[in-house]
Amino acid sequence: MTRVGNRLEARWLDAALHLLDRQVLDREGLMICNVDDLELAEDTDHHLAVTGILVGPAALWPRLSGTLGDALRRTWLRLGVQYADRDVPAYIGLDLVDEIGAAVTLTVDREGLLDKQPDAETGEEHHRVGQLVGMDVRGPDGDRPGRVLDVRLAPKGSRTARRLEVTHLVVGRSRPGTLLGYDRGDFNGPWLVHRIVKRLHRHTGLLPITGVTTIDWEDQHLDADRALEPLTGV
Amino acid sequence: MKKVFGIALGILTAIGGFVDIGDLVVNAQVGARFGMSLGLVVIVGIIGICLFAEMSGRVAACSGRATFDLVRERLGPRVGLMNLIASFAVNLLTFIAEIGGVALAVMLVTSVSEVLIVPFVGLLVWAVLWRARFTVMENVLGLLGLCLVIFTVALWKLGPSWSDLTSQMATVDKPASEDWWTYAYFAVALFGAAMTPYEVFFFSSGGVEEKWTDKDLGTMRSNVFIGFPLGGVLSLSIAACAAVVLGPLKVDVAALSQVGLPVAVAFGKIGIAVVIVGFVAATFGAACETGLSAGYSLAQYFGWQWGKFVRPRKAAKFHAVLILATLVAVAVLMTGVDPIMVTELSVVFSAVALPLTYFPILVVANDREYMGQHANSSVTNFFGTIYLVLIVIAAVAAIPLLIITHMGAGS
Repeated sequence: MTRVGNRLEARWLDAALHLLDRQVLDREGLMICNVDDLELAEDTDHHLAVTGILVGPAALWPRLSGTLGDALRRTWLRLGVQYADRDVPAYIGLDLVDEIGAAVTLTVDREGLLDKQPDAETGEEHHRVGQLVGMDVRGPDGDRPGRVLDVRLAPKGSRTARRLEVTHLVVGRSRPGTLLGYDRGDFNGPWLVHRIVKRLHRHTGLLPITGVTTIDWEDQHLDADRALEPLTGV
Repeated sequence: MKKVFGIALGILTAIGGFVDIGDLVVNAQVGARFGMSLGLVVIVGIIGICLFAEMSGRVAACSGRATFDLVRERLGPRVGLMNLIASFAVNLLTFIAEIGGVALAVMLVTSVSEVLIVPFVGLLVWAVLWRARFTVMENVLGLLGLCLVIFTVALWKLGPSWSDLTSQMATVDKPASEDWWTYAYFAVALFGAAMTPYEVFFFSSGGVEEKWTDKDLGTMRSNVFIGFPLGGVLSLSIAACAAVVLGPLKVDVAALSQVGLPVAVAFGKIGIAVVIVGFVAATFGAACETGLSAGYSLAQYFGWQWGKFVRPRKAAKFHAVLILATLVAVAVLMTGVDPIMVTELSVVFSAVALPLTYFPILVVANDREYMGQHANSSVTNFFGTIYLVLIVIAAVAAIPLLIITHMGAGS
């Protein structure tokens, strides 16, 4: 349909650049929702993998971060204090995803599709990609390479047991423009914008997930035992 | 043959659909006060909208994604939300202005106060969005909008001094009675009127829905590069007519009847009849487009089903937004607020909101992953960057100029 191939068949994809905030379409091409956030499962060995798409205000508002996100989330909760699962987003399992391209296409119809996010399986813990993005990265010897800007994923497993394993973190200074894709994509210009964004993100690099020693989800920071590798693009 | 007809129809509706209430009012105001001395700005604006619409149409054809979809994708949910609020507000303001414009045009015939006409116009707009075979409406309104060509004919009939008009256009100068601040304010307003963001939402969303592919790029370009400039000629004719007839009388255009006055001078009653049909068609068509665009931006940000061809029950939230927007527009106009003033505000705020959608489209039009061989050429990027700078300057200057000049009343 479009010239962007199916990223599920590629070696890797970047969560924020290629998957978050994309339109989700059903089998017939009818629109369902946007990818508001992604479910991140952490097993007992602390391996991280994306296991599902999270949908709805409960997923979107926390991603707005800061005062605005907090205020919107609190208002959203207050408008429905009587609901037990107000803060639980809706969920689409990765097994239903047919293609990740310019949009995310599912293998099913949209009627009655969205149910609330299931509880984590035993031994697993649920986080969100939105929590990982923006986390402060502390390198070895007091080095501060910046924040997590994106999460690089590798599709693994058959359709029914599909996971997108976290292989690297894209880390750099928290500056505008990383989603534009100039640091990783294939662009024609325009020269001025290209140069400015490239310059703003000249310190951006890749941190292999094996180089992450601990992740503090509460305090929003993670420790790394090595320096960044150069960033590779498409 | 069918294809030629399709292309011709596309071009004709692009011409008729180019002019909306903002173009009508601002061009007449500027013509009456500044002669053709701001004509260059109109031309700059027309080139700008061609560039912007062509890029967004190309992005829609190559990626299958509409403008606001890409805004959230490329700017993130946070900046995207700010963008949504600003764009939606401007869109709603323009929607109010267009509905007010239809009411004013109908008032010229019926002499019933426009406040009484507004609810019926609102109902009719909603009914068209809800029920109509939209393509038919679009074509009918676009073709009827061609009645505004009478401004061009009237100008010729009025027999102005062409050398005067062209020399006013070619030089950066102003009448001695006006100051440079006001000149700058109206330049921004004209720019905003020519490059209204809703035109691009509407154009690109239509492209996505009609499933344009690489093969449709030729048709899309012919609509944009022939239709829009000819539509721009109508804008310039309105300004020139006002300059010739209203300028010497020192009329400050504050009513739609004054916009049509030059045609009445040239052709009498028949002229008035034709011009009113043109007014109604142009504003009614634009009202439908702005209403839809308000729905598009909200639905595309949140991922809801949208579309002018999708049945309301399949795009329930989208249609709920259209109903609410129509109700708000009618309610605002029922307060008796002057639609002409709403129009003036809407074009200025259009200029403010423009960079928010222009920039993401400029970036995506360069992404080879989406665009392949159809990514921007270096020539397009050269002009694209010049316009990026121009658009940002206009956006930053708009509100200070609005305040300094008291909405163009003079500082």
